[in-house]
This record gives sequence, C-alpha cells and structure tokens, in this order.
Amino acid sequence: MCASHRSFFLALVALLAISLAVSIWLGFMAVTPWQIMQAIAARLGLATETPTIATVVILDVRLPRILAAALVGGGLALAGGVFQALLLNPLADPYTLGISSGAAFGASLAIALSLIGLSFPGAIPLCAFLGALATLAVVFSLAGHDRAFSSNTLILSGIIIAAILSAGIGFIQYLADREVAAIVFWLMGSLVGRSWADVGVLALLSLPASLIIFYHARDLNVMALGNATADSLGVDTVRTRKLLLISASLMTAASVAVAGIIGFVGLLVPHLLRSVLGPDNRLLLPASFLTGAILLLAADTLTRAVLPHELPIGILTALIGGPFFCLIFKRQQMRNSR
Amino acid sequence: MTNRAAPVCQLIACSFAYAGVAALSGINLSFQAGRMYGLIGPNGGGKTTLINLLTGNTPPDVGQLLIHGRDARIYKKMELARLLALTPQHFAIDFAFSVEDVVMMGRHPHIARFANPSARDRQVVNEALARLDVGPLRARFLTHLSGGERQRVMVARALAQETGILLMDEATANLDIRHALDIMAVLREKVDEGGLVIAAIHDLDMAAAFCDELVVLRQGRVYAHGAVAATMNKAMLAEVFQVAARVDEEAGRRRVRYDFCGGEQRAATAAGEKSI
Repeated sequence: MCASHRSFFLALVALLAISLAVSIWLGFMAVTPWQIMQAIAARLGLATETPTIATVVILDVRLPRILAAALVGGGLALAGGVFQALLLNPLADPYTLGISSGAAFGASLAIALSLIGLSFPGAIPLCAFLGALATLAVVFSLAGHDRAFSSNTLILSGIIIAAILSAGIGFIQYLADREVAAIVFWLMGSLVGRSWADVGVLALLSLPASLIIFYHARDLNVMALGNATADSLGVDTVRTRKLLLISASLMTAASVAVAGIIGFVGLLVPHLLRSVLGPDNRLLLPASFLTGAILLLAADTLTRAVLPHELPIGILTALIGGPFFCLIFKRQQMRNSR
Repeated sequence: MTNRAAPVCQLIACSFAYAGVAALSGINLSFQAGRMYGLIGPNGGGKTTLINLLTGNTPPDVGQLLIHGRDARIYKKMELARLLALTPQHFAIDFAFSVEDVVMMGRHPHIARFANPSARDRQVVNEALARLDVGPLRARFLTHLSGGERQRVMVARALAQETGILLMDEATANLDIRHALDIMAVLREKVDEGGLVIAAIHDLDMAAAFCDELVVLRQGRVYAHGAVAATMNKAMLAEVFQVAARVDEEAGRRRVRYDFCGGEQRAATAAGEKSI
C-alpha cells in the first residue's frame, strides 16, 4: 500500500470516528459530550452507572441505531463491491440477485400475517432474512446448471425471481387492503428504534463475512481476467465465486432484514471509489465498507436529528444518491469520449 | 542426462463433450520439453477444447491428463499454476487495471497471500513487459488499449508466470505482423531454454515456420501428429482445410502458399472454355 493510499484510509477511519461521535451528540434531546463519555464509561464498567434519561437515550436509543446504520451502510457497500467484481459488472449492486425482493416478500408476509393475529416479536426481520436466504437458494439452483455460475446466468436468474416476488408483494399489498401502509413503509427502509439485538445480528453476520471477503480480495482481482485465466493462475474460481456470493448475500440479507431496502449505497459507493482508488479489491473493498458506513450514518443522522421531519432513510439515499450518480455517470461518459 | 523422451504432458484416451456434443474424442498425445507444438485445424476442430484440457482445470470426461507423469487431478491448483500458463483466445476486462497490474497478476502463484511483490517479482514483470514491447504502456489501463496491445500484455502476463509449459490459444490472432513474429520469437526462446510450448495457431504458414511438430485436429480427432515436414503437405491441406495450396521448402522451413479463389480449378475451367 503506498503512502497516499495509507493516508486515504486514515482519513476514512478518522471520518468514521468523527461521524460516530457527532451522531451520538446530535439529536432531539440535547446531551453534553461529558454525559456521553460518562454513560459509555459506565456501560463498559469503568464507572458506576447512574440511570438517567440521558444515559438511556445515549446507550439504548442512539448508540444501537448509530451502530446499526454504520454496519448496514458498510455491509451494503462492501457487498456491492463484491457483486460488481464477481459479476464483472460495474453496475451490479447487492440487490442484483433479487435478495432485496426476497427480503421484502418475507417482511410483507410477516406484516400481513400480523394483521390476522399471527405474530411474534422479531417476526418481520426474521421473515425478511429467511426470504432473502430462500431467494438466494432458488437463484443458485436456477443458475446451478452452469457449473461456473457465470454472471449472465446469475443476473438473469436474479431478475426472474425478483419479478415473480414483486408480483407476490403486490398481491400481499392488495390483500392487506387498508393496512398496506405498514408494508410500504417497511419497504422504504428505516433505522428508527433499532436495538442492540439488531446490532448483534448484523455484527455476527457482517464481520465474519467481511473477513472472508477481505481474505479473497486478491483472488477477486485475478478473476477479473476471466475464469479460464484465473483458474490457470491457481485461483479456484468456482469455489471462490460461491463462497463470496454467499458471504456478500448473507451481509445483504442481514442489512435488509434490519433496515429494510436502502438503495444506492451498494451501487454508488464501490463505483465511486473505483474511480478514485482503481479496481484493486484489496483497497477498494475495505474502503467501500468504511465509506458506506460513513455515508449511511451521515444520512441517518441527517434524517434523525437535522431534518424537521424524519424521512424514511431509503427515500433519502435514493433522493441524494440518484442525482449524484447521474452526475458522476455523465462526467465519466464525457471523460471517456474525449 | 535427463531422458528427453519422457513426455512433460500426456493425454491418454481423452474425450470431452459440451452438453452431450462431442468436442474431442479418443485423443492420445505426448508433448516433450524443448519443443514447440502447433495445434492446427479448421474452426470447431477442437483446438481450444484441447488447450483447456491441457490446463488441467477442465478434466476430460473420459481419459487422463498426465503432467510430469502424474495425473493432473492430483496437483493442487497453485502447483499447476507454477507448472503451466495459459493465454486464452478471448478475454474481456471491464475494470481499469493497469498493464503493470495485469502482468503482476502473473506472479499470483508465486506471491504469498498477504505478501507484497518481492524485488525479484518486480524484475520478472519488468523483463516480461520489455520482452513484449509493452514497457511504455505499463501505467496505461488495459481497458484503454487496442486489441493487439492487450494481446501482448496477456502474453507478457503468461511469461511473468515463469512456467515450464506455455499454452497459447491464438496468441497472435489480433496482432500486426511485426508483433506476431515477435511473439513467435519469444515462444521459440522459451523452447530453446527447455520449455514446452503448445500453441493453437490459425496461420498455417506461421505454424509451419515456427513449430517443431504439428497436431492436426479435425472434428475432435487427431488427424495427424508429427514433425512439420511429415504433416504439412498438400494432401493434408486439401483434406482437412479443403483448400488448394502449395507447400514449398525454403531455408529448411515449410512455406504454405494458397491458390486463391480455387485458382487451379478456375484456370482449368477457363482453359476448357477456350478450347471449345
């Protein structure tokens, strides 16, 4: 890693630390930095805990939501980078294989069932997660005849399954009648009221998956040369593709189960960073995780603490990310045509 | 003394089919070190499939591939990658890796997972870049190069892999004549150093001029295998490639000259018409 890359990473880590600190501080209830430090020290067992409203707000409302935002953003961006590299398509994102549609279907089903009294705590994220996994399994079995899991086969299978599931979601919404708002809001994505349990689930899935991905970053570079060449360079492409697809999909499934469907982070962040850092996955993937975490945390803090009325985070990322993507895309087109 | 007759690579009764359609059947071939083999044959004759079998990464449906006398399936992927390198016919790269990055990927089997390239790795890469005349392009993105430049980069990448066996699938197909001849010369050097080169070549004249032996493939079978002098002849060209051509001897090499537009037949017909 050269000096400029090292300082880029240091800057990202510093920015993430600052974002975390600022977002704990910002919010409807004013707290002082001193109260924050006291509360965290107490929770870590370094001081005696005095349960006040401020401590509860800091430790059990803001902190889990903030960490969830960072993990979801980082997970989606990292998964997006992996899908782009694996599918050899810079426009792929974590939802290309239909994982988001599967999660949305699971969640819609859980919400619809709760309307007729069939419900238990955590049903929505659990069903979303199971929906995502089931989708992944179906897409894999559809694409499985092609031993090498070529990108066209996978993308096509993902599109087919997503289309069927979208119709299914529409049907559930139709049946849900007046309660359709609950489903629609879930689909927009939100981090409101996320608990330590959500953070635990995210960390448990995202962190091992990230490590597996970072471990294979150089193999992923070689795989850009095509399967035959990568195989001849000693990369077990079939095994690596499967392993990385599953890892990135699990991260996506966890993110969607916890936060709903948040678009553009997974597409934009790795795409943008690639034009800055180049395509080397050893730099690109860790940088994507950090940048995704910073951006989603910033967006969530914006909607939570700055905007007069809280917007669903998925709407906000699409509203900011969409035009921004158009701008970069246009600039890249102009640069390439010159 | 090493036994020159011991084959480096050997295919024993190999057959391979794509979705039930036979691409190769009953292939028995031995390849020896210090020789350059040209795979020739019409399109769809099985050249690329044979190259893929020889990489050891596509096991034959029936039969066995031996590399240095051991079944290829016994080797670990990384071991194979240090024994043989492949330049494929088709490659598409959508990410902006630099020329130097790509040639450095040839060192992948030699560099430990989280290690940085050593001074020697850099030296090997520099030599390969210089040898293929792509040194000045080292910082350019592969996505911005012409087809021929990319092809040379891919050959440089295979050289940087430093393997005893080089498998080339149409390595000179997109190249202007100077660079095509240059790559053939690079391959010859590799052979003279004791390496084994197996190259699928479309240009029959080039194949005859540079190879030691030719393997003629037709409809997935070996039509002929042997020294150039024994395999490259008028009868083979007429039967396998269905062209009329002359094969001359020139400075100890076989040269192929085609009779364009079926010249002989047309001349014969014209003569016939005149006499009427």
